Amino acid sequence: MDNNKQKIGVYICHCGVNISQTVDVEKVAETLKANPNVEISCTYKFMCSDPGQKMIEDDIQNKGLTRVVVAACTPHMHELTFRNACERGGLNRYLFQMANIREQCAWVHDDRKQATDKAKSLVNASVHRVVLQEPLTPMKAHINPDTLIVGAGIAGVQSALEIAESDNNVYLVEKESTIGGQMAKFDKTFPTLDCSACILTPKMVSVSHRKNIKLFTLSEVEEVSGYIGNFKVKIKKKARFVNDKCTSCDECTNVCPVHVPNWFDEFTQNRTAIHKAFPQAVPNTYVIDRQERPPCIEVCPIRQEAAGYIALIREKRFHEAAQLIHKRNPLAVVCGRVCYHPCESECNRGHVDKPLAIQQLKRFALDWETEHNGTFEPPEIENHRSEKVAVIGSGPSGLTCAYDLIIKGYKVTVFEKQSIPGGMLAVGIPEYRLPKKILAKEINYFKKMGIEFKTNVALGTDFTTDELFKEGYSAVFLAMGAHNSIKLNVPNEDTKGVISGVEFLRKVNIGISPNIGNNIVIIGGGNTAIDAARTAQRMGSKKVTILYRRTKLEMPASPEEIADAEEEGIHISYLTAPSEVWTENGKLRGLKCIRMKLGEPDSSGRRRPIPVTNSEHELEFDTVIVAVSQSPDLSGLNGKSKINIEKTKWNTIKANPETLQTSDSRMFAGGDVVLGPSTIIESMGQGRRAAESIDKFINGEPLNNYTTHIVKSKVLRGEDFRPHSYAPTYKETSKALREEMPKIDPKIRVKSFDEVELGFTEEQAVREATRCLNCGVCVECHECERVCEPGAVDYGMQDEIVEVDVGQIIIATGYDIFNASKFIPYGYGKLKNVFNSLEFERLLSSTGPTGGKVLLENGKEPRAVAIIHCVGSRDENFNKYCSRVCCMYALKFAHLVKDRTNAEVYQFYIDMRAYGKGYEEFYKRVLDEGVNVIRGKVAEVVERKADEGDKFLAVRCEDTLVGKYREIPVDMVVLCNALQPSKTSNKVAKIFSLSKSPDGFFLEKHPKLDPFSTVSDGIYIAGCAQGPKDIPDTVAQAAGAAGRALSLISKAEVELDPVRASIDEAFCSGCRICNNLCPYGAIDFIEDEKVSIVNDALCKGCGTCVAACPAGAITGKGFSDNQIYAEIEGILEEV
Amino acid sequence: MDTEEKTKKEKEVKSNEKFEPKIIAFMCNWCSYSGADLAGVSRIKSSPNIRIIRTMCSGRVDPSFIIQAFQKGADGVMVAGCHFGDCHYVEGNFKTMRRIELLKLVIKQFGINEKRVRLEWISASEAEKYAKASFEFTKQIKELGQLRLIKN
Amino acid sequence: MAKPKLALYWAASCGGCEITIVDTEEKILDVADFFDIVLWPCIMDFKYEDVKAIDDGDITITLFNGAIRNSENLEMAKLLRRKSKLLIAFGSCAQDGCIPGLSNFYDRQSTFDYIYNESPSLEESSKGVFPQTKTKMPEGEIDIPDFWDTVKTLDQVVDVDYYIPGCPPQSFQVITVLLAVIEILKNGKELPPKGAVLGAGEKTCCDECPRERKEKKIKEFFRPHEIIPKDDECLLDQGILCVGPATRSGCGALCVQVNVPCRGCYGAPVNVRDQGSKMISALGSVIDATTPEEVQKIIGKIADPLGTFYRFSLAASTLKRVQFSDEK
Repeated sequence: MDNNKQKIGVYICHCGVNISQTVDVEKVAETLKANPNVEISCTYKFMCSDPGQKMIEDDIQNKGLTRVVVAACTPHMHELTFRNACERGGLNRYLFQMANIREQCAWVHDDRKQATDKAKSLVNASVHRVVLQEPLTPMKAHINPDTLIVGAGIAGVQSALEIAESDNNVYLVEKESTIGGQMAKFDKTFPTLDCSACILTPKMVSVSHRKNIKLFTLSEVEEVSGYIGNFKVKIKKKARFVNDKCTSCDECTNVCPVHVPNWFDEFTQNRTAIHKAFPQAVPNTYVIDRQERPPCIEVCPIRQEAAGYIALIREKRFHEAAQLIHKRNPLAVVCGRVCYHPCESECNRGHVDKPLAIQQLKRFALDWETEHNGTFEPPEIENHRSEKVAVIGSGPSGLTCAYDLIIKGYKVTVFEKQSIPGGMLAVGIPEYRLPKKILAKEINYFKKMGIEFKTNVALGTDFTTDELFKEGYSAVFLAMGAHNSIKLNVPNEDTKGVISGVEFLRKVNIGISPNIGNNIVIIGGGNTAIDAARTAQRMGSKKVTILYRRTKLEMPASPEEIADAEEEGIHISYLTAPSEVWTENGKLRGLKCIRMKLGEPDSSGRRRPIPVTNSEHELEFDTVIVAVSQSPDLSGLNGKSKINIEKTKWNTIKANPETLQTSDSRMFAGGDVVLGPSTIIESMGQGRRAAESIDKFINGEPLNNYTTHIVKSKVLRGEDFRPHSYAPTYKETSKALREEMPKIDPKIRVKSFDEVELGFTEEQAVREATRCLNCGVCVECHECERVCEPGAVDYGMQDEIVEVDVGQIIIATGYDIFNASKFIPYGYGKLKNVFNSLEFERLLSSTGPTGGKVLLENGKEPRAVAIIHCVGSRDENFNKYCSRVCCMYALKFAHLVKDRTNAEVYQFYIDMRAYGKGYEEFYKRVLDEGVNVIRGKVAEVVERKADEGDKFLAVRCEDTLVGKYREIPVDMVVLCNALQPSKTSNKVAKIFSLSKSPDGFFLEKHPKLDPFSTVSDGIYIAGCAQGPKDIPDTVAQAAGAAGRALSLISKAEVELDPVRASIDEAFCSGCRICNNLCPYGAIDFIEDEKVSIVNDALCKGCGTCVAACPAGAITGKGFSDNQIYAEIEGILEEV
Repeated sequence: MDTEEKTKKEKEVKSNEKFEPKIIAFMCNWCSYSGADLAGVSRIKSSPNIRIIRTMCSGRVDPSFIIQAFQKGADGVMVAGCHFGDCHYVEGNFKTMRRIELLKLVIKQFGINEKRVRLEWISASEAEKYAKASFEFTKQIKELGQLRLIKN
Repeated sequence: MAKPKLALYWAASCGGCEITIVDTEEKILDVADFFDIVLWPCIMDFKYEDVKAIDDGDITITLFNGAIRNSENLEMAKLLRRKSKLLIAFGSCAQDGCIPGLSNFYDRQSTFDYIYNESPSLEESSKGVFPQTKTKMPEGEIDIPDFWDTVKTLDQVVDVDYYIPGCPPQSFQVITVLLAVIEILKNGKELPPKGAVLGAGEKTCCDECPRERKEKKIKEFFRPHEIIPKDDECLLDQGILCVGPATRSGCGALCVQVNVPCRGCYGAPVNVRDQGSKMISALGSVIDATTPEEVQKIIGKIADPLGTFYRFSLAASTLKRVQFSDEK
């Protein structure tokens, strides 16, 4: 077989009788003697004992052994022991091989012969293998003294304090907003009945006081790399939105309008969006539950907090609502009436029934404020500045820009060509939609703030930008809008009686009544067309028709407007387009039209109209109003001012979409003059962005890091199609009708320019607001911000990734309780007054929903309470294991119920397990208190109706002691849920590469001797993450794990198995097969030498690349090809 | 060479008596090997025909080992690793799976029944699964009979 | 003094190895006047007797090409072993079984059945006429060699001193080896260790391949006729099954330079036992798939995997030949 002669010592362990009773160890030893390389082959009772190890040491020294094989238990158990023995004997620790003849032979086989044969071949394999093993030197690794602890329940807290005590640093990571874990939810603890808070909170507090404990709440570990002593950890720290200025004064929760169930109270009572889990929470800082940004807010170009004011309206806090709106929106009242409201189209309520009437609610709040003589106080202007800014055009974008700039302290002058400020708001939108007095009020507000308005001055004719700059203006905002009506480009368009829509509306708005006929046609499908039509009708025209070349679906005008128009008797003829203005000897007679049909969608996504052949026809009209579209009037840029800034091919000003800066750096542009005919709110958005740009420009800052909002293309939906994690899914949400906006009767309203929409009543508004789903919990009403005196609320906070280096890790991620609704017969989740254990703990707690009283849902005291053990544990269908704590906390419950009520208490148990210190005594005590204990698993809990009519619960079970069926009437049932691995355990197992035991809890290295360590060196476990246990055991294990970590820290250096891959460059041809096999990036390819090399520090020794290397250039130290071949040979050789 | 001749003779003799297959199982240190250990600790019986060879990761298993095992007289070879996603070395087991799939094609062409190669994913907690697999595989190999390689 | 003797023999081979020698062009003359070429069936007639007549060990070097697939091959192998100081397995056939070794997919009977009965090129009349080892003739009984079930490599039947791999070995390699040997014999230098592989490198084909290689992720395999490969990129990276990574260097990467994937004629690299399964291990590692189904889909495109991975080394491989015992 092998020519290099060795002196091998083979030692077969009896392991008491563990091995020898099934394996004929003597025979095994005997057989191995046959091997020429074997110097001695013997057996011993306990190889792992001192004399056993001494044997090996002596033989190495006296008999000059060159290799050692021990056949005993699994190498996971004693490989280290024997390697050390070899080393003490003076033999390299890696010239040792272990054969597993206990776990994988003696313990799993009955047939003595077969077991013995197997043992023989396993030992023979080790002998073959060990011959080819080479001496290796372990690698040394420095130990980083910092420790990561994951999970801050009592276990994590205990470990943290133990380690901190030794003046080493701890990073304590907790996914919730407070530390304390499940224990913090308990009222009393068994068996001593001392209050949980009283013993836990002092520990929690000292965690927060310890300088060397760095606490990460609302945080989760995302990634771990490295190895024992040298881990790199990525922690995701979710934003809290409240900084540590918070004094826990609790003012914020009084004003927060959002209420959702509190996880800490097991959802038994509500909390506000800004909250603290419980009074003693650590850190003692509030937190805002902001799960996603409400879409209505995100989609608004000026990021108006719609959800916020809706919530306030729901709370009947109309004043606050109005103020919130106005704070961000200087044209609030206008928007309340004529905004295009993209918020409504994105409203998640649309997934349930209909979107909220957000615009109307806004209008309501503002009108309410005015009716109650509320005023909008202009915000304080911190620092007044000398610089002047000119805004050209007083439409929505111009006004918004001016507003923001004046707040920033600049001197702002607005130049307006028309006689009245307001741009399209003034001259485009008819009175019946936006009463002039309202606009005037808004404009006054701007004036009150100190914005100077110059009307009847047109750029290019009355002044030029050059002059402005000469006059010392530092920047100019161009916002002249789009007031030029686009022509139809059909023959005879200039005939008298053909007028433009914008022109028509402008005249009417400034009070010049244009003379129009009685049979009017408006061409176009936008709001301007509709406005023109409805205005014309109000001007007294008998017959008003709208021609639109597509269908209602494609019509750009807002549906409400179209509906109103039709109500008012305006005829809209779709799929019709004029081909020529029909004249008779120069006089307007009407239109020559052609029918259209819809073809493929065009760039705008709307289906392109195609003429229908031979569908020409004539229609008689006496006035034709063209309202197809508008374009900016850029003549002002030429004229005498000659501004040569770049324009687009659509004759709009070219401005950088991010900064709105034009080709002339001092000039910015926004609104319709850039966008073409757009909406009020879009224009306002641009005005706001422009203001920020201009400010940066004047301050000489770079034009980036904007704080003003720009609408992202995709708006988030609620997680799993819920508005937030505590809400039902959209389809489960109950429907509620959208409030209808009251309007003046069509017959009456067409006779005047009175405002058509009357606005919501208070009741309507509140009802409508109640339909809001509170997307993302926090709705950004900024109330907390308003009342927070220390100014701790910070909406700007962002999630962050923190990277830390640690040497050891303790996993204390705890448990979750079994979901009792899976146990259908007990009716949890269906029947009233059936509680799970944690809910009941909260019920008992003074900070809980009932302030510690044991009460039924109807607020009455129960007459009898049933406590059912082993719900989901010791149950083949769910968890086989015993949860260990249930019996005792059940007794605790019993005691407390007795203590606080006059109710009868029934315990339904299978076996009563009172194994701990003082537990049996506690059991005795509770029995003496007169608690009824019934031995038997409950079959079902059903609802019954008493003769008096009130409902109660009947608990059915077999009393196995008296051996008869019983049905016990109670008012309340408390279930003792099994403890289960935490929901996060799979994720945690992956991240830290931990194994799990069959019950799903993390697997310890050894069930008895090493319950702290895991298979991953340097990673320890503590508490219920490792298995169900009570508080004393948890604390003990936590301290134990900390002890392990500390001993590692004090060693400061560890030896690592040199099991590593190494590449012999003499044989590597750089085929690069191995290159991306390594998950740790330990393999580098050296371009110029065309070879790959392995980085020892990163390699973890899995051997995947060794197997893969087609050139046989990579060898695996400790697991070389030849060693494995030898093992194969040894196993299969007949011995 | 001589050991080969030896095993050959051995086999002829053996084939007369009741056939006890020789099965080699390559098991990864973290999941499967620990699973087999757990079977021991929990005294869950498994097939004595299985002989386990420990590697750090199933990704260390080179198809050449399996072919060598057959040549040296194994009647079946099992390769066991962590479940996908649980690999202690992130994704070694994926490589194993791919190699074995490719090997099976070749094994078939070699005229060796591909059922003699078996891939199992056994976690450290799946003692029962290991035990079950060990018996199933042994049964299967017994049905297939001894692997007799043509020697000439 | 008498010139050292050189013998060249071909067993089961195609003659390509002979051509290689001829390809050494005028250099062959140096060889010719240093050595006394005593045996070279391809070039000059010979009789067994002549060889038998040579004293044992009197032939300094024998370049033995061709595999061992019948009794005569064996007889000659043994004979030449006896007569030669140095027996060199010359070329892939002698070293690894090469293409002849592929008949280890079959056995004698199935081979005969095809050649003498099923082959489409047979005339009806001659179908089913099988060669007999012994045949009675008027002049007496004549016999032809016994044809084996399994093709063997030279070192499976006799002791071999050195190997020169390749199908065929590259002539520049051959001549360098021969001239080196001449040097050694002239100046009595030390010979390379027994079992050494001469006329080849210690790395793999990739070492000599000029193509640029990237990190491997194979999504699909193509056969050479299915795509036009980019001529500067690694063929394997392009999905063409090239066994270069698992093949010893030495040929100068001839095939890959003309867009033909390496087929492995230079045999397994230094530390590799089984060229085929090693290539399987390598290839399996870099297939870009995460489910058995995906993998099967991708590898399904490999035509004749066994023939591909073991094209030249089947007879020398761990399992040596295809089995029939296990089929049912």
